[in-house]
Amino acid sequence: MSQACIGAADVVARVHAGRLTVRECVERALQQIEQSDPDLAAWIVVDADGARRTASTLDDAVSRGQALPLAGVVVAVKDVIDVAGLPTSGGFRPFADRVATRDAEVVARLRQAGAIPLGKVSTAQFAVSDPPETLSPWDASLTPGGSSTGSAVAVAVGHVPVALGTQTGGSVLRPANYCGVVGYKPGFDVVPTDGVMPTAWSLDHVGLLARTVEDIRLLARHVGVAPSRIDLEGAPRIGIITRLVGVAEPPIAGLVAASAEALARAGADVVELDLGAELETFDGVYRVIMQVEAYAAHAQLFSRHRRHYGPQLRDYLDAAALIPGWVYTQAQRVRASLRRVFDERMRAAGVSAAMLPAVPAPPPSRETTGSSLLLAPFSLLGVPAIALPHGVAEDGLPHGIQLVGRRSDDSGLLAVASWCAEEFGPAPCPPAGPTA
Amino acid sequence: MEGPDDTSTARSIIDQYRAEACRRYPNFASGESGITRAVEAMLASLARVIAAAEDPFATSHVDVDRESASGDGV
Repeated sequence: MSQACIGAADVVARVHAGRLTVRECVERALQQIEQSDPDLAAWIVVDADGARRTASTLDDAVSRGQALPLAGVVVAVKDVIDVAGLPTSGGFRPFADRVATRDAEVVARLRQAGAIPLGKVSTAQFAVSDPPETLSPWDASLTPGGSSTGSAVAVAVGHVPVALGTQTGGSVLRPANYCGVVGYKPGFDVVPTDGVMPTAWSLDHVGLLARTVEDIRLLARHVGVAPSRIDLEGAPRIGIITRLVGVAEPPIAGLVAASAEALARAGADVVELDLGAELETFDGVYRVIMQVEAYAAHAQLFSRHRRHYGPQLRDYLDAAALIPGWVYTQAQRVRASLRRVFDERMRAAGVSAAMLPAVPAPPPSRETTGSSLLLAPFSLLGVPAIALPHGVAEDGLPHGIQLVGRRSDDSGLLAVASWCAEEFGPAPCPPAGPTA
Repeated sequence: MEGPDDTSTARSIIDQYRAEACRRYPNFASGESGITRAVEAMLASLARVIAAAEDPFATSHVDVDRESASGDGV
């Protein structure tokens, strides 16, 4: 079994028990990358020398008894998040040599706890829509999802136990779902975005990807999420958003219904929940806000470097230039109303989490990164959400669900996710992945 | 008493922006796929927001029939 498959929590335990050194963790990750990344292209930059230097420092610190709660945890960082000394390109050629002088706040927090940022992994350009070259370890003809593409692939195949990603619409949970790993988007502003390239300021979230909820919880508490309750006092009450299950293609809707039945058999109280508004309203409001804010971020750069933009983002920004300010303002007003209604529905139903599919259809071909239709509403609302894998479907691809938490209750969502993950079993291993 | 026809108002607004897209982007006017898809998706989003947004002047204290068509008194 590869070190990466051991999981971050076990790595930390072994390092502190003296059964594994941080240097060994780094060398094993480098070996994994060398073996399989030439076929997958998840990594943009691997900082082997920097990681080895950090490992030596950490091994010395551990041997002196210093408390380092993430000692030995090797992390992949999406290439829109700054790591000191490495370029942050965002998949944009003119930025290929744009070296960050300091860590993003989220990277600094992980580093301070003893984690080792090993390098940068691929992203859709500027974390929007033009996909990188990275291949899915499940089926090379299909998208691995995006925009946190490299993050999901690196975790799925066991290069690293955890990765940092970002989500503006569905960019953490979607690739996590397609690649069969856990993807967690905290509530808005729970994890700071300092040192992260903006996509749309009022929608941008930093997220985590891992093979287990346990590892997500371990890292989450070091990046700004309030410490999780260890366990639920009993089985959770979960609201299934039936109307959105019905939006998914029949095979996916059937699998999500089966996941809900499995949870109910295990003792969960599964009740029906309504989103409180039409999905089309969420989608329209999200798209207007995302598009206007993306244009605000890119307008000047776009005018100077238009030819370096991917074709999808280029058309997207051209269309964005036409959106009038009054519609953006109305979209923000509707968003506030959607938030109030959703929060009230969750409260009235007395549920700890809502459940629905993460995606409406299986992964499409590699020209796109897939649909965010069922994910973007919760980025818009700013509530925490998590994608959980639940085995492999008949088509040979990983299947999973999305859980959505109550506002400002990340720890509650993670506790429910842990309970569900116990029932669902471990994340599946892809054909091109680790032999766990 | 019937209020203004919101659907036709929204359609008219969207048509204005479609015309602006045609003026600004010749590729859109010619139906070139990338920009056409992007603009049509954007217009659909605008329509959804306009449909969902409450009329900021909607109030039970105003008789819509007595709104001045000329804007007199505004």
